[in-house]
Amino acid sequence: MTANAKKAPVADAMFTSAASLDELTSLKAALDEHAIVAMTDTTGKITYVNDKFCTISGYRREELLGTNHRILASSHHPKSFFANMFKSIANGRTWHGEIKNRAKDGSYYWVDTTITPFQDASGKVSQYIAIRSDITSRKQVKEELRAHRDKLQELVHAATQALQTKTVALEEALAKEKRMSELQRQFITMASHEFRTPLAIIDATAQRMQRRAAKNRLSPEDAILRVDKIRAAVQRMTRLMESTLSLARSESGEIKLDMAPCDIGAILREVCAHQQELSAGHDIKLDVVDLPVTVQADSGAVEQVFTNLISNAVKYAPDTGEIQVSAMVQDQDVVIAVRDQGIGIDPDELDRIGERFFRARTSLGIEGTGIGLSLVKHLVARHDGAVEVQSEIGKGSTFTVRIPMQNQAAQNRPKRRNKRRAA
Amino acid sequence: MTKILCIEDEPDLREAIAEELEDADYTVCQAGDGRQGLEVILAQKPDLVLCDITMPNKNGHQLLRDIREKYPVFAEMPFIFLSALADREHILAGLKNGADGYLTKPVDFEVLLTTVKASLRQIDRIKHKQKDVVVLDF
Repeated sequence: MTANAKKAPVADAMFTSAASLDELTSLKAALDEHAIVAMTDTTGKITYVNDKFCTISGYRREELLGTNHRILASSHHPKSFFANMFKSIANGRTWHGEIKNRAKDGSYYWVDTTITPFQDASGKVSQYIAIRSDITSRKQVKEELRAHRDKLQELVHAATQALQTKTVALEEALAKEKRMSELQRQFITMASHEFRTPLAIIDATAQRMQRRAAKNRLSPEDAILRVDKIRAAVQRMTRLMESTLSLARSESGEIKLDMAPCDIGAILREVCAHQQELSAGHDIKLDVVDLPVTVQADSGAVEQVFTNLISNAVKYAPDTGEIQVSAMVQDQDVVIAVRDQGIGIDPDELDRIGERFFRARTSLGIEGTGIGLSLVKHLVARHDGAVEVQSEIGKGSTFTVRIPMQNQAAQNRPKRRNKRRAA
Repeated sequence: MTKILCIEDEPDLREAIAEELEDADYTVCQAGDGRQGLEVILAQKPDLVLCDITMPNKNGHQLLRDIREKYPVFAEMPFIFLSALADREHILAGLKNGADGYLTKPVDFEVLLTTVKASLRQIDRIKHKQKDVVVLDF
């Protein structure tokens, strides 16, 4: 708000009469009751203050008179704020605004301020009269309101964030649950299929034996051959049952590891020899380099891991003969790699390898339940180890198991360190 | 002599089925997967196909679709699934896909032979009826 500078009251003819002086005194008394009043010269030196000014600022009148108004500066306002104010009043325009001042005791107060410049007889601005109202309470309420609003906004923001995080977590959990449920459904279908197939072989062979025997066409040699087929199918069912039970046990945490110094190389040699007997069409090549014979591990679990990996290599490389198995020490780990030249795995499925019941697209038509690798992953993790897979469609897969030589799993502390690397 | 193709990737089961069919006086040819099965169908033109579903290379559904869509000359050839996929959903899917029958494993050979006979009898009836129609037209 601006207005032209007023002439100094001493120069105004209307104030010369006694009546007017009375009126002026009354007006001043009323003004002093209501407002904080001060007069300064053009340099800001205080030339007059009323009682209210002294009360609010905490200074005595004699401390203020002759002192620059700057004594009340609070450092709240930027320099440009006062520069603009002085520019206005120095040019004869009334200034109006809200100022934060600092009282003598260091406390702050807010004043709604009108500064009016007055001219002397020559028309030059010679003094300023500042009339102020104490708006500290109003400001405080406003500040409190703003703080409340900010706090509220923060709370709403935090609550929204928490809700969003919760929603995302719930959605993820739901998606995971759905995926698990779908995998479980697939597993039930697959398990039913996998159990029915050897059962069908047993039943069909038995029916054939019965018919041939009824017609006296079952020689002892023929019977032995057919019984062998039945027994092979029974073994297949037993393996299937065992792997299903192992998974159930691993899930319920029932697999207790018996950690003891293990000759991993010897276990690997035994597993390779056994797998070689079972699959004459494959050539399992084993390369073991300087393995320590006292790695802390559960020998049964290690045997199961090697069996699953090597039998998988045989199963998923039906038309290629060579399976390479290597074992060595790398850093502080025993590293065992099983490499086949089989059907391979799609790159987009590598991350899901080892997931319970998961079977790669390329496994279509090949018997399996999606349990074996999941068990491998679980058992290796229980040894503080890691399983990695590299694969290329049509070229084969390499499964690498790392078992730390000094692992902490002796206390049966489950700890995951699994990671996979895409080919 | 009626020729039956048995497509099954489990050799022990395939041989037992083939033996049972041969005992019932059918000529039997065999295939170990869907792709091989198609080759045998085209080369040997069997009178009936008994086919597994879950097989490498080409599964039973894919093979049946190929036959029904690409080879109309085999439209009258009965195609029976013999699968370890034994739930209602799979049986319905097999029949909807165009199979003439769906047997589940393990299979009773009496049921297998009766199903095969019934399918062949039905084809025979259709063929005779078509012959009669031609005579009447004349």
